[in-house]
Amino acid sequence: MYQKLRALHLATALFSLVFLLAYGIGAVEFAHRKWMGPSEQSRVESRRFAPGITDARILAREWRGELVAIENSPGVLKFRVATSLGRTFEVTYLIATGETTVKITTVGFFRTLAWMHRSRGVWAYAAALVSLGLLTLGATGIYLWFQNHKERWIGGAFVVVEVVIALGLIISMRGG
Amino acid sequence: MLLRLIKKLHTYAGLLTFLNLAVYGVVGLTIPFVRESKSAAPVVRYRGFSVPANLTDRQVAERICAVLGLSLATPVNNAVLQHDAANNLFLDFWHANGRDQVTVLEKEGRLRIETVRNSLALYLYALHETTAAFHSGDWRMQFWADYNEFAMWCLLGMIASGFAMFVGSRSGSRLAQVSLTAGCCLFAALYFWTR
Repeated sequence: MYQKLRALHLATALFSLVFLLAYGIGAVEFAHRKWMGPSEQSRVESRRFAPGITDARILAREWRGELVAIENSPGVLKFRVATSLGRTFEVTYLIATGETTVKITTVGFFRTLAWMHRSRGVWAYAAALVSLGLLTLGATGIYLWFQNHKERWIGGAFVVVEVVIALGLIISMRGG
Repeated sequence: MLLRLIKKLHTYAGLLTFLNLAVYGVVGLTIPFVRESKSAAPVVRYRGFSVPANLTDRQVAERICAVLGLSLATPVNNAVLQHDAANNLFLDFWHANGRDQVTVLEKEGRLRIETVRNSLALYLYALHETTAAFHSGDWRMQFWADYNEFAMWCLLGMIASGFAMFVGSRSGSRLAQVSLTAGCCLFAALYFWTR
């Protein structure tokens, strides 16, 4: 039993490793944004499409992501497409000529990890899978610790302190 | 010797932050469903309250926070202080348990309080993202925020120490190698698919 759970603990940890690292660094980015360097870089590209398109949805298919904003001005179609990891395409299309300017903004490495942390869609399901892994690590970790007789007393004291403090705070604050 | 010390630190870090990590796990599991995890319907109630003379709007808001027991919504930030169309003071308090929108009806000598209570999933979501960067006027929330910051660093420490233990003693395990490769490949595939 001990050997099997140790193998499960190791395999789950290694499978989740890169995700947990990304979420952990993403959490630091959230909490201490000013520690990280500049987070955005932009460049502008020119493209040409067929003239006369008035529906942003047709043009937006050129970029993978969510069409998040549309602005209609006379003769000009402006819209923004955003990917789940924070990359954005701001498109300005001249209806008469088809001339198009695309401003592509990419976020830095740490901000990308933060986006993974909060992203919806497939990343949310990945987070759910890794969270299941995290709970498995917790349960197997507790078992492995408990089997180590030398560490039972001091470890037990840590668990009691942690559970009393954290659970006390969670319940107390839920009350208002 | 070094590996034994790393294992000890790994174990202690896990035990000291066990519940915080469980909160992260539960929150992560509920994320795909959190949109469906609706808060309760708003409840509107009235309560007598006379505004003392010569108080600023912020002082009124702080007094109302104390009267209504909204310590989790303190300190009162600028976004809370608003005015409605009739120029009544309108206070929009956000906190881990939900939202309280208070209209100060000074002429009537009462408060209109509209409360939306977060579901348990949303409450835990708010707790899991509260770290030391957050400053609360409630000592319990501040304590939680500091403890959660500690848990965040412990998690990073456990990742590093766990990997060191793998490299130091179990790097030959076939199952471990396959798991690590599978996790890395899945991560890379998701990254290139969604970037």
